[in-house]
Amino acid sequence: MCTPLISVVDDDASVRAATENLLKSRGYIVQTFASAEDFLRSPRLNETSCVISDLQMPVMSGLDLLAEMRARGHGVPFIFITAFPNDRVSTSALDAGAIGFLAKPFAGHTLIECLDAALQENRDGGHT
Amino acid sequence: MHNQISNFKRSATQFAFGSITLAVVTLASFYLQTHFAAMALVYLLVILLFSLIGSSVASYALSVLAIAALAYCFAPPAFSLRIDDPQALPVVVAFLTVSIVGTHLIGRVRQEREAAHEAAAQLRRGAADLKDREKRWHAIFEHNPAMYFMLDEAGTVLNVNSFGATQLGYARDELIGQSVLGIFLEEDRAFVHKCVRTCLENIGQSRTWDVQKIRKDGSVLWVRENAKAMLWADDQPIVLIACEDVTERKRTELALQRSEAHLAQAQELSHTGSFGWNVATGEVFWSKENFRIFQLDPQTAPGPELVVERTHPDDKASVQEIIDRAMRDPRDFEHEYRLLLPDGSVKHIHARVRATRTATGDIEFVGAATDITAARQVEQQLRRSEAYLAEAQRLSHTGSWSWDLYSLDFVYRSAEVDRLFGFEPQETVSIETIRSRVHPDDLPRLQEVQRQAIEGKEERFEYDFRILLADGGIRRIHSVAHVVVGSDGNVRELIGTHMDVTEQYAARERLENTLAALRESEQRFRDYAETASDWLWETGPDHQVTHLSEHTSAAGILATGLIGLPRWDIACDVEEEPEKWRQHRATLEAHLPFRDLVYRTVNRMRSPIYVRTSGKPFFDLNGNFLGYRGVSTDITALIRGDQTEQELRKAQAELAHVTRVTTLGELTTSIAHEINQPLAAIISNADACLGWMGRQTPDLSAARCSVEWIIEDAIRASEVIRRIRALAKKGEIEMVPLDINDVVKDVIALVARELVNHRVTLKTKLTEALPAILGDRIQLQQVIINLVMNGIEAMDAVTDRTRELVIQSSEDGTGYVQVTVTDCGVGIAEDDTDRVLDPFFTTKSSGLGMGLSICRSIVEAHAGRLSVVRKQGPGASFRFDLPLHKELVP
Repeated sequence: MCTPLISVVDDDASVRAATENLLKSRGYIVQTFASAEDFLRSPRLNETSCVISDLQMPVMSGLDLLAEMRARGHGVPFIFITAFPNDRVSTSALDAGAIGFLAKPFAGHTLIECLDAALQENRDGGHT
Repeated sequence: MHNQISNFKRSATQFAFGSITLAVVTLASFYLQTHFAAMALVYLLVILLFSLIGSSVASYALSVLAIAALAYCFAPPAFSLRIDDPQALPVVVAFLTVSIVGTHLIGRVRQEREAAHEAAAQLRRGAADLKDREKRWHAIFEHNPAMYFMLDEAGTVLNVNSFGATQLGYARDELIGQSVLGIFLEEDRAFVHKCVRTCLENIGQSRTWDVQKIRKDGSVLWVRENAKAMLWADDQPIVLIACEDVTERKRTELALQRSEAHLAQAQELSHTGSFGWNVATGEVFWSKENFRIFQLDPQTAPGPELVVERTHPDDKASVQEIIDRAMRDPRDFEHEYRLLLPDGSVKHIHARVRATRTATGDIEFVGAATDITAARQVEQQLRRSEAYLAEAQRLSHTGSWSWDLYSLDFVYRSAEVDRLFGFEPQETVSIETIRSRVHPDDLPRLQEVQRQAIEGKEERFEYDFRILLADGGIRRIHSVAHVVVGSDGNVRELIGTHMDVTEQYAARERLENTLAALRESEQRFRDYAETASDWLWETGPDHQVTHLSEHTSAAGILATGLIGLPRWDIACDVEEEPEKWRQHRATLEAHLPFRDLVYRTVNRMRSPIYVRTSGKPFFDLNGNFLGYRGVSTDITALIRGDQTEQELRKAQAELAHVTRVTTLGELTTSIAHEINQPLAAIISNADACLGWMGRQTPDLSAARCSVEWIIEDAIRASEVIRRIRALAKKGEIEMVPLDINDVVKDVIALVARELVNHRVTLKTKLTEALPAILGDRIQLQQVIINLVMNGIEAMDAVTDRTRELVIQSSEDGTGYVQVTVTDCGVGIAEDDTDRVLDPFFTTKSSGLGMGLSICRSIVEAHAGRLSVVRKQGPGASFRFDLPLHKELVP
């Protein structure tokens, strides 16, 4: 795996584009999805090295997506971002196995650091 | 020297062998008793023979030796050198002469032959040399990694080396005999032609130029040509051209130029100047942008001291310290500081500096100074946006909180919660403290609602209670909350909002009172109107009342003892409205008629009444003024009615405002989300912009794109704020031409997140290009928000079908536009359909029942109509019709 593929799932188009822009500026390969369902249908699901997902989304929430991915046997690390954070949601996200939980708005370097940590762990941990 | 030695050796050898031969010949001849003359001939032969070997000197010596031998051995007397025989003497002389001349001749001939041999050998050597050299030159010509061309006067290729031909993708034969112009770009041919001509005009002078050549395959290469014209053997001039492929260099040059231009542009665009500072040599380099940022002339000699000089006085110490530290301990550093520029403006600068080592081992600082003033301003704006959000909570008197059921403590509570309960911001609040603040009558019900919600794991529940304030006052709270279920399946937490609805209750009470007063007033007005209350009066020339015709119904009203009083003494509002009475008295003095003067007086019960009166002067036959006669009407009821109506309108407007702010409170969560989204996008894009700029080759277009997105999102955030402020504003009603679709879209932007949170799908069917209506944007927004929020709420219980809300706009061709909001929720009970739009009608536990009633009064104030539409299937549909603008303003 040379350059990791990052999947961004957010129903807000401008946040999605901005996150993609940020990651691309740092040299990552990024694919974006407007919903969890779109992501699950993605042909490159297995190549994803890390998922950055919004929590509050219509129909299928970020936590639902994480549960679904784990149920399908994907150990890919998850970073959640949300515009309406609280401790409880944060705890349940981290309990569910998310690597990071960021409240919007977040500083770009915070996301990058979190992402790097996730990728590092993924590499060390040898997840599939 | 070497030659002399070899000559001497040869001479010695010749002499030695010659002497031996002479001795042998002498001995032989002596033995054979050869005749003197014959002997001379034999000697001569020997000498001439030896003279062929070489040295003349040896030959002469041999001649002398031979003569001596001849004289000694063969000329009588024998064995003496003396020659007595006179015949022998001529022989000796002849011998000597022939020997010397012969030897000389032979020497000459031999020398000439040797010279000829020498010349021939030299010639042979020269030819071989030439051939060798030609071969070498040819190899150089052919294989030197330079292209050589040989042209005639007309520019035809006479010769080209294989390297040159191969470089251009041709075989040599394909080029030879062709015009050289064929391998140049069309637009360069005139230039090349001129260059060749110049060479031909200055034979022997070298010229150099850069030009592009085209290969056979069409690709282009840059070459540097070095040319010289010279005269060929037949005096025909030819031009020799050596070309060096400089494509790579040119490309590098161009890339460098482009890269420099890009960098300069990038610097300008990102307001980033770069600089270098060699601490050891004191050399400093500043980029153009750096000078611009510091507002310095690019001719100025740059240096750290200039930076300090320009620094804002408050930051000078820190900047100086950073520079000093950098000199002591050269390490990477970053610093943010402000500049105070000569024009008085302040700039925020972010400097990032890297310590590098130069080729000579010196430490050099290389850095970038970015003008982040704009970013700082954006940041300040963001902070302000957040403050607005807090302001929104404060305005709407809505606090949000989260309560942990295990630890019985707040997980979170906003400042507004503290204000509502009167808690100190950092105070730890126990459940007892909260209970002590709740009105004792409300506590049991509150606890029961919460208990049920926890048991039923309700997604949404509402309750009302009162808070007892320290000053004895009461605050009414409406709370909406939901439960959070933990991973163990138990309810762990309650999250909710407290909304201060005290004002609403007060407004509602006021409204009820006003309505009651209006009803009473109406009744009275009706009574009065049924029995007209006119009476006649008469005044004398001094304006004192002389006569009063007491009408049936007026009889009980007017105060007694009015006869004899001047008009203005009857009235009670002379002091309040001096201007009105001044004008009236002027009219009376001028003896002019007057109409509809309204004044206040008292009735028999000393209660104030309002009277409208009209009068006209009357005169005797001579035209002398006698006084006025006129009629009066009691209009108290009419005036009271107007006043009540005004109060009612005011109360309604107040209630509408309160409801609007209440709605805003309900939307607080959504609004926070709606602002945080663009803020997140702004920060990400700003960071991305820095990322693009910071690349080894800055990606200008990506950076520009990022900045454009930042602007879009900032506008988006400020739009949300604008909408909130507009809704919260207690402004005058402003009727302007509106596109109702714009109003709908504004509302959608505010409730979008609320729809997502309640998992409601929104469908809009807006008819494009609807005619304008005349209305107040905010009031109409309030109507639509009310209908939408009602719809969302009505669908909360729906789990078996998609929660879908439809907003439609249309025009029916009868001069009205329609907006319909349809949900698929619980619907309205048949019995309630007629009453839902009435004030105080509600099916909700907490509602004031004013939402739809206010919607109706707003729509009616717009000369429109709000109605409930009967619909197929579950849910409810509300529609309002508004008249077109052109009908309102013909």
